[in-house]
Formats: sequence, C-alpha cells, structure tokens
Amino acid sequence: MNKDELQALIPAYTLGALDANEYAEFEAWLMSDPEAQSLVAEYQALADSLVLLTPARHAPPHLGDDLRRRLAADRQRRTTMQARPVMRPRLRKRNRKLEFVGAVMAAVAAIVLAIGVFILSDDDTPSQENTPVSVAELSPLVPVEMFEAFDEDPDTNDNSATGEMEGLWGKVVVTSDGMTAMVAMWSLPEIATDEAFEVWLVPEEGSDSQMRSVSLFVDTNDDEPAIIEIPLDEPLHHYAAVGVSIEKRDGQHHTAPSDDPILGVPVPSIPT
Amino acid sequence: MCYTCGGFHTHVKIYAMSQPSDLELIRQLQAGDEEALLALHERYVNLVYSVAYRVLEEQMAAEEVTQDTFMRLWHKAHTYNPEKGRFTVWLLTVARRLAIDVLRQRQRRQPKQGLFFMDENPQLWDEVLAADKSDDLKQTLLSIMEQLPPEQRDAIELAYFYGMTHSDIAAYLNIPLGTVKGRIRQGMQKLRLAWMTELSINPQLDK
Repeated sequence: MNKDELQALIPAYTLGALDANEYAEFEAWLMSDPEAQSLVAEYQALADSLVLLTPARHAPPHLGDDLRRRLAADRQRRTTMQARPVMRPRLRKRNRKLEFVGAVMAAVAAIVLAIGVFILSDDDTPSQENTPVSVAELSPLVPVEMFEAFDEDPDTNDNSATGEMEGLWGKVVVTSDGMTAMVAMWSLPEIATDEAFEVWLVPEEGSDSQMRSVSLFVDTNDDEPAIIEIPLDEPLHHYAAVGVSIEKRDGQHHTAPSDDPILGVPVPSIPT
Repeated sequence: MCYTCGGFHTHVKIYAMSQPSDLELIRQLQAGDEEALLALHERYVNLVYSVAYRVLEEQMAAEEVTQDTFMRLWHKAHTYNPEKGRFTVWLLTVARRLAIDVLRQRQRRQPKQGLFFMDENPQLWDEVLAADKSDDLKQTLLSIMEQLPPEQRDAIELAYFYGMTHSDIAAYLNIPLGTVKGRIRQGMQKLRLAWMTELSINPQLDK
C-alpha cells in the first residue's frame, strides 16, 4: 500500500476495524511516521469517546461483594508470591545470545511444567488444514513463572521490575503447515520513546541455527494485544520458541538481543 | 422529571464536596488502597457493565468483563494519564476492549444496531458525567453522530461495538469491501470535522 492508502486506514485503525493483513502493514508504517501518529492520536481520542454512547443498564447488585472476594484472592496470591524464596542471582554472562536463549528456554520449561500445553485442533476439518486456524496455543504465561524465569539477573531482580511486568503474557498461533504464524502479546511493559520491541525466533538449544530477529514494533495501545505476524521461510516448528526483547529504536533488525527477553512463548507442537 | 419513577424529582446522585474525585481515588488506588477501588467500582459499575453488555449482550459474560475491568484498573492504575483524557472514557474503553476480546472468542451473535440513540437509563450517565464536569460531552457526541448518514453510522457501530473488521462488516452486510472502507473512512472523517468544530467552540469538551 502507498502512503495515501495507509493514511486512509487511520480512521478504521482507531475503531479496530483493520483486517490482519492491513494491520501488520499499517502498524509498520505508523511506527515510522510521526505525522500519522499524531493523526491517529486525534482520531483515537474521538473514537474512544464514542463509548459514552452506550445505553446504560443497572449492574447486578452482587458485583460489589464479588469484587471484594476477588481483591481478597488477589491479596492472597501476592502474599504467596512474596513468601516464595528469591532466586539466587547468577553472574551476568558475556554471551548475550546464549543468555537470551537460556532465559527463554528456562521460561518455556517452567511454563510447560507448570501449566502444560493446550492443543486446540479441529480434526473434523481436514480440508482447511492450511488455513490460518489456531492449531495450538499455550495458555497464558503465568506471571509468576515468567518472573522467576526472567528475573534471575541481579540488575532486574527487584519488586519494581516485577510490578511492571505484571499481567504480561503472549501466545503463538500457527497454521498446520507451520508457514504462517502470529504472536499476540498482552500487557507489554511501557518502554521509552527511543526503544522498540524486537521479536526473535529462538532455535532449539544446541542447534546450529542462529537466533533470528523477525519483527520490530512499538505497542501504541495499552489495552489491545499487540499482534505481530511472524515472517517465515521455514516452518515455525523448526524453532523452539518466540522471544521478545526491548531494544534501541533505530529501525534496524539486530543480530542478537542486547538484554534478557521480557517474554518467551514456546512454539506450539502441531498434532499429526 | 425523574426518569425512573416519573416523579418530579431526581435520583441523580450529587457528589458532595467531601466525595473524593476520581483523580484522588486513582492516587489512593496507586498507593494500593482497596477501598479506593471499591469506591470507583460503586461509582462506575453500572456504566462499565453497560458497555460490556452492549458488546456481549449476555449478562454473565458482561459481569465477568465488568469485574475484569476493575481488576485491571487495580493492577494497571499507573498507566492512566489524566493529561491524555478523561478517566471515564479511559475506563470504559478498557471495558469495551476486554468485551470485544471475549466476543471474538465466541460465536458471533446477531448484532443489535441503532443503539446510539436508545438509552432507557440516562440518569446513570448523568451521575458520572456531572461529577466529571462533562455533562455536555455525551450530548455533543450524540448530536454529531446524528448528522451521519445511517449507513456510515452502522459501519462505525459494527466495528466499534462488535469488533468487526472491514471484511467482517462486508460479509455481514453483504456489500463490497471497498464500500465498507469508504463508509468507515468518510463517517469518521465527518465525525472528526464536527468534533473539531465543537472543540473550537467549547474547548472544555476535550479536558
């Protein structure tokens, strides 16, 4: 799409009406165009205000008590988390790539052990086997495991870092031929204006393959998941995981992540 | 006249001067005060539920989204920036987006359209918007929405409240994709123009 075509999509973008193929291209363009970002902000303010045109209803009266119960459960969960032993800090390794792979794989292992992988497949529709349906996905990455896996670094092993990452989770959706995949991420942390998220394909540990940067993006909307298409020239299941790191925003794909990943999502296995 | 019972009085709750403002409650919330969340819940639960119900049209799911919205507020209160917009709009936008996420995981129901101008409980809005000093914001939005051709309004409604994409709307209305794109683009451009005009007359609308 040329600039005029992309610009014409701004109103629809703020309503959430873009199709997946339009969305990826639009977001990539938006990232590089400050003028468009400003126009999006204007339209977004208007679009958000339309929520006031909702017919009002009385909520059921029990919701107040229900919220108290949820808060109590949340308090209990936090207390349990704080009571867990703090992981022993490890020395920072010089090889950032190995560190990144290790952290992603540790997270993946912890998550798989903790909650297992849920396979969602539709065996009744073999004729649609290569359509972009969700063949496998991981249930939400449990924040506790994420922090335990990733907060080993003494520089980041503090409460504020944990707080910022709260609610962070992601999932990978892949077609049955493994050649089309999307990664969706919720509650990404806020980053500085000169930073961007970078998506990595992480090879199996011990593999000769290199870790590969496949996407750069900024998350402009705190309340919507960031959905990124993963460009593939070989099936996704040749890799072990998809990782996300925060990098300097220079418009370039990097050869290796500069720091620990903030998110690691194992590549879902495809049922045969 | 009262909307609820027809009497010559109002059930609109006027927040006394001693009532903490939204911003004060949010600051307390950021400090971990559960009572502040419960106070905001009491103030906004009807509207959050209304938004969730508008999208999902199902009580149980709407209740769940309502509570998720407040738990999200509990965990993410620090992400609200008063300089970027009103708390009411921010909170209800969170609710709408959570509801649309839920809706997208379900089989789509027949959307109910034309609800922009149907409100049997306007007093529920009055309570909140009066406290927010934005009484005329909703009226302004209604007025500019009324100026849109119905087909453009419908396309916007399907995208906004039902999370439909261009393709979804084209399939649902059985019209060409390009027509849908045109309706949304033109409709939103007109809304923006009318909105900017209103803002130039009454800058407080955007505060």
